Amino acid sequence: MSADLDALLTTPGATLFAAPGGSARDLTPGRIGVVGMPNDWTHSSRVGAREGPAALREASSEIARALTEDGTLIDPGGGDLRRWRGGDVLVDCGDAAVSPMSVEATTEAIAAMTGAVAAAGAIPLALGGDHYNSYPACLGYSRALAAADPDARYGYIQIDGHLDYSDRLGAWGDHNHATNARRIAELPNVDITNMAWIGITGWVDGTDLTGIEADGGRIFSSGDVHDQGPAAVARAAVAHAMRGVDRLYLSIDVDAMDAGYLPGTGSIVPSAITPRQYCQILDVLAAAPLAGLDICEVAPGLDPSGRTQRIAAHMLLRVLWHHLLAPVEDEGGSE
Amino acid sequence: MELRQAPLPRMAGDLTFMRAPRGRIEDLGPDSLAVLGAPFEAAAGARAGQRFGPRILRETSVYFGWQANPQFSHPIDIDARRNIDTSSIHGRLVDLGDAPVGDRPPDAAMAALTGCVDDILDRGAGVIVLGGDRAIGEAASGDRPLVRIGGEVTGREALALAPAAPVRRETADRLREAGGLMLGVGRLVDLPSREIMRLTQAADRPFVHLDLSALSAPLHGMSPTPRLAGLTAPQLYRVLVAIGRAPVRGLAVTGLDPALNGLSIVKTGPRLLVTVLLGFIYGRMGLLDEETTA
Repeated sequence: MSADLDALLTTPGATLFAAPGGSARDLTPGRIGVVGMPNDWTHSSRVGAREGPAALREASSEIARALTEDGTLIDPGGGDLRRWRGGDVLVDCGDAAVSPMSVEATTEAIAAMTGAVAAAGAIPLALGGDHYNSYPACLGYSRALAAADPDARYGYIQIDGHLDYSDRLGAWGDHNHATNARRIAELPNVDITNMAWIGITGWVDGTDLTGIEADGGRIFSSGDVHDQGPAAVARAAVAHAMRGVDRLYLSIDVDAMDAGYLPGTGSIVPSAITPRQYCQILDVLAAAPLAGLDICEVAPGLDPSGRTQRIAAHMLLRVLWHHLLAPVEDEGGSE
Repeated sequence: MELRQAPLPRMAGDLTFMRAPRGRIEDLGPDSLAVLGAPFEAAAGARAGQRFGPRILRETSVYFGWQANPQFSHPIDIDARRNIDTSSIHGRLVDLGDAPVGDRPPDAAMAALTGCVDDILDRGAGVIVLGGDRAIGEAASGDRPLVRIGGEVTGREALALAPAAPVRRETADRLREAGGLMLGVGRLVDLPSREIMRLTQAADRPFVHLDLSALSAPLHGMSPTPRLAGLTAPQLYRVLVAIGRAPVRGLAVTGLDPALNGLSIVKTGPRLLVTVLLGFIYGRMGLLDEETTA
């Protein structure tokens, strides 16, 4: 078999942005540890997000292949030169052990992995799964931060079509995709006065909304995104979340985007937020001091076109832009 | 009613529209708003599938059954920051099941639907008919004054809002000569809510035919009559709140094909339709004041 033919073969099991596989032991401060959370047993209606981590890895690998082939890249937005360094920054640590019959076991398994990444001084990047998984992902980060510095606090931003702030959800109890933000707000090193939501759409539960705002949380609806502009809303959310803290946890629920663009998700909303607007929000957050993040609710089986995971992978590229693409000095030879 | 007592999963239990109790036509009163399924398509041509509309609309609607679900307090419109007390809906919104239209020749099926709607309206109740293709809109509205949103203009409309396709000049002339008014998307979105309400009132208790083609097709992809420059869901919601607050007899919703190639799992279309239908229901039941709809 020739070497050329070998290069055409693909390895089963893609990693995020074609990053090297490894574990938390391979991480150093400043790098990003990827943790898959293939769990949607905590979703109350349309499941399928358990396939999200694999779909994100595959779609992001397509992006990585295109970026790594070209050497120096020109950012079409800003015009500056960049070079791909995803392989040096990312380590894909694989998936957490999901226990379909035990929310507690799944929670601890995910938290153990994101906690190990954070304990290494790296940034945990967790791939859902339904949005409940955001809670164990943040829980692990929160525990590691508390172990390193009991007094440290962080801000929290959730981009989402929904608040996810219910205390309970019917037969699902208190740990599911409608309660993740509430559980995060109960963690000891994040205060609701440092929490902000972007993209909330339509009707929300009255008690949840008034509870958040009465306690000092900040909510930006999809209407706010349209009225004030995506970047302005993102800047206001960052300003709110970062009051008195120096690090940020970001939870990205893809369902904040209008389902006309991104239908492959469990709980769709008519937000009218376009992929461009969503990316403009993420561009602002990319410059924030991200200490941990997750992306949830990519359910590829609900989108026959396959565009959902491709859009979501592009969103990851935008929010990790400064990590994955290093600036390059213009040596006059780019042409 | 038991659903108000126990935290059941959303999809469990009897599948009715918005978890409304089941009822019979004989039990309806002037305060009732009946829901009637019409799983039939008489004019769909080769692209069959709209007959599955009532089922999928009911499935989607259970996410919005606040009034029957103990796990939620009450909805708030996130942009208007206004509480909506849905408690008064329970018992007034009644799901009658489907009209006897299955396995019948088209004429007989449509006659059966017309008969059911007549019986409901004769009791002073309102009705929401879940289609079905555009023929459902014709059969349900009968000879009553008609407000049509989206769909195909026939010339008999008192109000033709956001037609889905260009209208023949002769049809437009006929509509105008009969005192009707046609408003495209551009004029409709600029029209104040109270003016939409006034025009609806002037039509003398009309019947409303809402077709999915009122919405931009890229938002859902589930209409056999696709269009590019249609309404967005928030725009249509505002229109339906205003129309619901006017005295209208009922509304038939048509044009949703959940079986369109590969789209049966997407469900964007039913989610949009149920969302805007809530605007009609809330307006009809007096849950939204004028300030909310301005």
